[in-house]
Amino acid sequence: MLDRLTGRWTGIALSLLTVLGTLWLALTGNLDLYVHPRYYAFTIAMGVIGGLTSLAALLLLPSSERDEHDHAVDDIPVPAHRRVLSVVGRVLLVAIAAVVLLALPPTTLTSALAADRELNSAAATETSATSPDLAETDGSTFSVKDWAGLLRQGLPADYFQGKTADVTGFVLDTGADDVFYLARFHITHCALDAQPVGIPVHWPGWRQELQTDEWLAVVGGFRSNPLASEDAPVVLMPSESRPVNQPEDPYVY
Amino acid sequence: MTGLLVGAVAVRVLAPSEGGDALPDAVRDFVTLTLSVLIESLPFVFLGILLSIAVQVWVPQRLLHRVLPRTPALRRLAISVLGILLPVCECGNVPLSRGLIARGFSVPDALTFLLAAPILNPVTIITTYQVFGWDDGILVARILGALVIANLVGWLFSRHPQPSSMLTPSFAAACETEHGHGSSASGRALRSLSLFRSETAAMMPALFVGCSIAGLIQVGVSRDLLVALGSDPIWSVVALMALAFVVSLCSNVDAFFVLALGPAFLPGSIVSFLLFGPMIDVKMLALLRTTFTARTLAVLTTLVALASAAVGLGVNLVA
Repeated sequence: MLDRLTGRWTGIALSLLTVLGTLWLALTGNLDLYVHPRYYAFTIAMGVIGGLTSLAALLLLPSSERDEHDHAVDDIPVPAHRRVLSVVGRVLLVAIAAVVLLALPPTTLTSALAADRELNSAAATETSATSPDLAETDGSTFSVKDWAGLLRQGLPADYFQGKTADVTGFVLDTGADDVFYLARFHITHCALDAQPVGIPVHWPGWRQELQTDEWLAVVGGFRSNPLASEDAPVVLMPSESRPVNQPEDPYVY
Repeated sequence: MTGLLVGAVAVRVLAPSEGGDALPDAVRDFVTLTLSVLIESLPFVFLGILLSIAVQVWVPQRLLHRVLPRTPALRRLAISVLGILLPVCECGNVPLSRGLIARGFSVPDALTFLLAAPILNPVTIITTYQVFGWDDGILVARILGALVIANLVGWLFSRHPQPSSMLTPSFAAACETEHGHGSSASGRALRSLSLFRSETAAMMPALFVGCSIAGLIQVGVSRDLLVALGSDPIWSVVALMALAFVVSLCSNVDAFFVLALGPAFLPGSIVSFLLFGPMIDVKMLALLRTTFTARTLAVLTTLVALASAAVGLGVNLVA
């Protein structure tokens, strides 16, 4: 009885929990922590359709009804201990899903994951600002991704003369004592494909003052790295910085 | 059940909206990645289930058989381009394939569709073109490779003396009941809801498990080793296929992802990544296990892996 009940309704329960969690994220503006904004419409539309169909099944299909599927599947002999295990497994799965989807607050990826992924990859910086774009402005409106793309081109420090960066990102430790990266995650589709993009910031002894993952707003110009690093020949020299809260949309696209 | 639903809404409304930082980094990343792939996959799974229901309940059974060629090889060739009409992501193709089998498709026919449709559909082809253009023959190798692998695997499985034995007993039993239904609209509507319930019962637990495994592997397995193998003609193919299996990306966007690794890897390994990932990955295997026996999936995985590797190595030799 319990086996049939859980077997029949686990899918609907998981569907409703996921739809509820997804729509809640959309309503509170947190869906972008998980998927690219271009998929909002599709995600929300299918969530509503799937949720309404699940509700219709819940309300219109009587629990006592045994459909053809049930007859066919119930005819297959299953040992009693496996039935018990499957009931426990389904209940546990629904309980875990409820906790993760409903009780836990929305979260972003951490710098621990960024450290395992290629920083400033070609794809992540492909659509960033170009050097002609920079020549026409002072760069103050450029994002972390724009600057990361420009720095990736290996332009000399002179090229950045008179340009000012005004950027926000989280602190990413790449192992250097006097340089950290001010980074953001670049998303193509969902958090699964997140790639870190970042600007090297020259800040001697930064570990005494900052913590990894901390969000900072930094203003400053660029110059040759005093450490003559091959990885970061040009660095941001902060003239102002202040801790800030994580932005509403922490990713770049 | 309705009371539980009201309770769930109340929990969501009352639960804190901040405080996730308190979780350890690895747990936080695991939860974020798992939810990300779950939320990204769910619309496709719903779409696949709804198309599956449409095929089973609302499309006349004779229609499918009338429009498809009767010769098995030609029939599989036609099925392998059905993805152009039904551009559902690979997760959605599993429930759709279940519906096609229930509607009379043979197991080899359904497998051909499952392997080909995620790649031979307009969205995947366009995004692959956006990323690679005609460079190194990657796009052409992906399209032709998918066509050949899907039909080859379909043909090999068609040699099986008892194709229905490749299905799980519960799904095979459910298929036995699928023929002949009432024709009233209300009867069909109720039957559609009943099918939605049984398909979500099969798909959703598998989707949760698959997404959790994908999230866990992303957090637990370092990419450094895989990327370090990128310049070797053989190991680069193996490494990117392993990566495709692990990351479980949607076929519509995997080209963007692999571009990030592009400079480090040879073109053939990228082709192997783009062929193997949409056909077989951690999440897909969890979903496919609802329908096929473990032995069938082991054979299927081996065949697709060998064929994808062969295409990739061939491209590496030519490029």
